[in-house]
Amino acid sequence: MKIYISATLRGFFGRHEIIEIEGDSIRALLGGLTDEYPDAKEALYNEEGRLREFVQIYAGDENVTSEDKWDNVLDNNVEILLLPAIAGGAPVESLISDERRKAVSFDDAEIDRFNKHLMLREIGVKGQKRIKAAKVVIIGAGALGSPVIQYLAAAGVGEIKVVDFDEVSLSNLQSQVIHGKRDVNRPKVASAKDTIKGINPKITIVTENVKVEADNINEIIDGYDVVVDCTDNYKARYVINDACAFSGIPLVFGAIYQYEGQVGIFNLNQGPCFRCQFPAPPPTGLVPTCAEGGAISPLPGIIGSIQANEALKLIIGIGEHLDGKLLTVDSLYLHSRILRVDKSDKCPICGKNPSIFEVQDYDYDDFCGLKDEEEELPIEGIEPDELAERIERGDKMTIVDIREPHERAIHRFPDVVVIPIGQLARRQKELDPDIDTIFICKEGKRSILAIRTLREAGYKGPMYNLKGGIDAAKDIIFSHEGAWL
Amino acid sequence: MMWQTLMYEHAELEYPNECCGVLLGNKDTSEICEIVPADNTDGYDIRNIHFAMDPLKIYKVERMALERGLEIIGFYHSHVDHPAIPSGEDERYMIPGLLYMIVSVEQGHCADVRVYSKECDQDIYIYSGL
Repeated sequence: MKIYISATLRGFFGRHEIIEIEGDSIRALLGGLTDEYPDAKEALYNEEGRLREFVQIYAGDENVTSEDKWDNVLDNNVEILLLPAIAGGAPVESLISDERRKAVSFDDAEIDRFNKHLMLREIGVKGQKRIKAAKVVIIGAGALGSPVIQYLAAAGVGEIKVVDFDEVSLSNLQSQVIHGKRDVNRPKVASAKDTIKGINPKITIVTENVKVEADNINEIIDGYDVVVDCTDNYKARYVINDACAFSGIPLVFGAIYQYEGQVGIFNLNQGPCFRCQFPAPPPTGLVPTCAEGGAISPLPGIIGSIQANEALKLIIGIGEHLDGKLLTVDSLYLHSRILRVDKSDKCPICGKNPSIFEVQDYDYDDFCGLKDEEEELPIEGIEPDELAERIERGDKMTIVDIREPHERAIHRFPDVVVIPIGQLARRQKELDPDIDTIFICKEGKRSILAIRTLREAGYKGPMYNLKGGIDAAKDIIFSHEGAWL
Repeated sequence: MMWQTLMYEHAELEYPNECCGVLLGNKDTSEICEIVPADNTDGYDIRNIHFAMDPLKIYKVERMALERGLEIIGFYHSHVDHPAIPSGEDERYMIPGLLYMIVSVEQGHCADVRVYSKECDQDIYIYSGL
């Protein structure tokens, strides 16, 4: 077929105007074209193998640039055009209007306090006034929230709202540096508030001791300039993204897992939203719950600090930021890279055929098959003290520990068969269907999934779930054995 | 009329929206001979911060130019109340080897113009001033 190459792109194709290539689909023609002109490949495709933004493909009048049209069979006589896309956007603009900036003033103490900012050409008095005029919501006062809240407070953000439903626990202190030993059992928002006050009592602090949900998120973020997502679960993440997308409030997203973290900015100036890249949460079993994930102490400090830095850059309107990008940082091997996030036509919120029109609670537990209530097929549970009694009596039964090796290393459960959840179906022959089998995991949720998996695989023996998992059994079973760590 | 004057008029006329158009000239000497204003095809609500040109319009322009012995050597667009510096998005759309002219329009008046070109993933800043 004949392909017309625009004069603007001809440099990559030996300056030919018309190139004849065999093939009856766009994919075949592009393949042939880059085979014949290998240099063009680098020019037309980015590092990730996607067509660069400046290339547009037409079959006659129809734009066929989108990859889902590349396999359609083309009419024999249609003219294929390789044309340039010419587009662009304005550089970064501050989230804070000039009017709001001008309404702010500083006293002598503030001039002294923010001296290091005022010295920076890009920030100066104007930038610092924008920071003071800004209103930021931070959702999650945990690992990521700790640096975000403290740095935004220290930087001089005028109004900070902190939202968290949880209380401080001892295990939080390993990474949640906004809280201290004396805050254990206090609401995280109360502890965070005290820390902010300690940094700068002039900051307006609003706290909400609630879990973000579809029916409260709009009210939580209403009237704020930017939302910083410091939560640790997909349910909250989607609720926050959806609310930000509908209300047009930019979102600074952050996430951590073990040694890796991600930061991105979504919903800025009608830019891509979180769902453009991740239309729905990942499928069953792929995502470890936050409780099992774990993370190295300074990682949330690194990722949260980048989130705070991005939020400040948006507020001041300087630099290049992660709008439409996702920064990934691997703290173990010190790799980092920036992935591009494009606005997607298929996005269920901002795409061409949206399917979501308001913020909805997403029943993520249900989606993952990790729901507590055992619905369609009832799964029998066993209480920890009952299990303890049966072990004490020496009942004949099989206890299957489905946890990952690193979890078993922390809390050893004696005399068990160890079968990771992924191998259960394959290794069901190792279980005796004539006696009871009890499944254990950390929280008693994955063990439900394990029983379902085995049922589906055709296992017929009696199966029980240890209710509440090892966490609930900690103080009951074999506490004297020193099995715990 | 000089092409510069036409371009500035176009940019000021479109204010507070971004304008865009084609630069025609001689590729070998990078000499601009004339401009062809184009429509900003982006949505009404974002035209103040975004622009896009219809690729088929560019196709027509280049066929027309060819008949007159000219070729497309670049494109221009305006930034509204923002400096004439390419945004991240501007850079991603730059075709290596072509000229990209940015006119900064402040409060309705052209305040600055700069020209950029991209080679091997690097922006080359060429010229500035009105």
